[in-house]
Amino acid sequence: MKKTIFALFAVLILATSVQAVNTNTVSRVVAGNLSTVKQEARQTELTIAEQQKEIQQESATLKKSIAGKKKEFQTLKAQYEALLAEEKKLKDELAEQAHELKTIDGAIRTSAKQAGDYFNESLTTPDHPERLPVLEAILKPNIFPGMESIKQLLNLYLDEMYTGGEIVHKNSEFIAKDGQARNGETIRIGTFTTVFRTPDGELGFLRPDSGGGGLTAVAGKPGWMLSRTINDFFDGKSNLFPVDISNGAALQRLAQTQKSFTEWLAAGGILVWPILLVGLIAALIIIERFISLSRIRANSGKNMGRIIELVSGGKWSECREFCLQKSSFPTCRVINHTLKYAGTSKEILENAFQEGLLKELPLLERFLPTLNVLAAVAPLLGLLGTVTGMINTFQIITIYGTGDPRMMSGGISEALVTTQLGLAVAVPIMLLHHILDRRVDKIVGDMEEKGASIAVALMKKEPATEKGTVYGDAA
Amino acid sequence: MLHNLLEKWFFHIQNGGEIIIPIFLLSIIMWTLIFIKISFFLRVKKSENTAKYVGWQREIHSQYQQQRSSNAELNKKTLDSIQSAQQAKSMRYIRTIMVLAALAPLLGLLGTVTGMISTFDVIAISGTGNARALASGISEALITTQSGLIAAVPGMLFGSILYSRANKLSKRIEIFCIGLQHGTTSEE
Repeated sequence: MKKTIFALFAVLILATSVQAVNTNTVSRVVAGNLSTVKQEARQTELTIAEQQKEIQQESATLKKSIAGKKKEFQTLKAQYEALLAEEKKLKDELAEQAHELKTIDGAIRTSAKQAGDYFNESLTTPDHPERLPVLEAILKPNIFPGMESIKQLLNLYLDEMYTGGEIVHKNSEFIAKDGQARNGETIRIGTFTTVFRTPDGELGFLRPDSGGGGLTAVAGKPGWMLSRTINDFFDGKSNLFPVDISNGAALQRLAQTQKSFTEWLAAGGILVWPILLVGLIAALIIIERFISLSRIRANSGKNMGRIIELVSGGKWSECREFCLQKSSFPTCRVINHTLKYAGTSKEILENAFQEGLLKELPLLERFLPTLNVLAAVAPLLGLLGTVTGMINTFQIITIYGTGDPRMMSGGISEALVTTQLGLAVAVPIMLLHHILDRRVDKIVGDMEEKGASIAVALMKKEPATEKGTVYGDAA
Repeated sequence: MLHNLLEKWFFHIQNGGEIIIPIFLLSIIMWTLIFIKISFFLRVKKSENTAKYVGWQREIHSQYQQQRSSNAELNKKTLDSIQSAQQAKSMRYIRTIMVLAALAPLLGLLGTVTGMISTFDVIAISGTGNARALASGISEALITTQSGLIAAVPGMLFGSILYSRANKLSKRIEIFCIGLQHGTTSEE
């Protein structure tokens, strides 16, 4: 456009210069040129206008397309955002459901594990070995246990409930107390107790192995009362059967608490021996006393009649012989001793009687004070043993602290054994001492009474004393 | 009431372990002796209130009349022997009752120690977690002590009461004998 205008101006300048040269011709030429130029200019203007119009049109269409594109962009963006939101929502949902799934998985596995623990401890498992593979399958890692597994687990429990109501009597194999596999009769009462009886009559309780595959005998024997009941049940004689509702814990305790007597003694430490010695000495004394006192008869009333008869008859030597015969009565011995002095004065007779009594008394009362002392000493020794044991226990505590009550209580239990033993020794000693003491009292009382009556009888003879001695000498 | 009491007793005997049995026997023997003694004293008292001559007085008197002689010193001796026999009769069983009453708490203590041993054995095996296992030993321990004391306290009480009664009776016997002696000597 500028070019055209520039050309136009050049032509104009040229034209003016030409004019200067030849105005006429030039003017003509110019006129002609001018018209052409005008024409051209008009044409140019037209084209320009045309082009302008075109350009305007083009710009309009372009603007229009831009607007369209913008609109399209907006819609697409909205769409994208909507999709993003949806994605986020779905992701959340997914996460939530995955968590739920994990919880379910965990719950199933936990209960399967619990079931495993339970069935390993259950007495019914050895009869149903198919249970364990099922449980193992459920517990396999990296596999989601589905509805099927839940059903299987439920069935296992239902099965257990059913077998819990059974009483099964059969022959089966188990591991005996010596660790060897044995065959024998077994009876299982539900899920509570299993008892075995070997062909040689050995009885015992069974516990499942730690693996749950078999049965093992519990160490320790049932007592004879229990054995009789169990045997009767095996033979079908009775309907009674001991059941351990603690599911084995009591059986284990039974086995553990069955301490033998020697073990019990050994637990008491060194002071058990003096207590036992005291008990032994006391037992020997008591036996000796009982034997010797049972030989001595206390009630000499029957003999007394005869003796007094003889004495009042003045038959001294006969009477003495009779007394010698009946020398198992201490009373008769005392009388015999008194009769040696028959016919002497009252004081001498009295003294003779007292002497005879004093001679007899130590024989009767022998060892009884010792017995009393032993009865007093035994609990003291026991207490001493307990204190010693307690000191040991506390020394253990100073080393290990009080963290483990088992360690301390074992020591305390041992410590108490001596007190127990001391009391167990002392009580019978005291009782028997009292019995012996009473017996001695009775004999002494009898002697005193009879001695007094014989003295009376002798003194009654007093007026005839001289004659009596004469008779005696003559006889 | 009685039924409940019996039930309680059986419960105790069941839970008290082996030691409860000797305690039970001991208390039965002790109570039998106590009743024998009480009825003896009651009879004495009753006859003292009603009759002119009480049983023991008549006994002493008749024995004395049988054995007496002219010698005064002899008579004294005779009377002494009769008196000591009567006194022994009034004192009979009382020492036994007291010994049994003294033995009962010892047996209770023995049961306590036994129960404690079993308790500590349980602790040694299962720790302090299992309270139920501990409880049986403790209840054995306490029930035996309780039973021992229950047996001992009335035994001691009755023992001392009966002892003082017997003491008084023997004093009366002594006084009676002295009186008898005086009476007879003054007669002569």
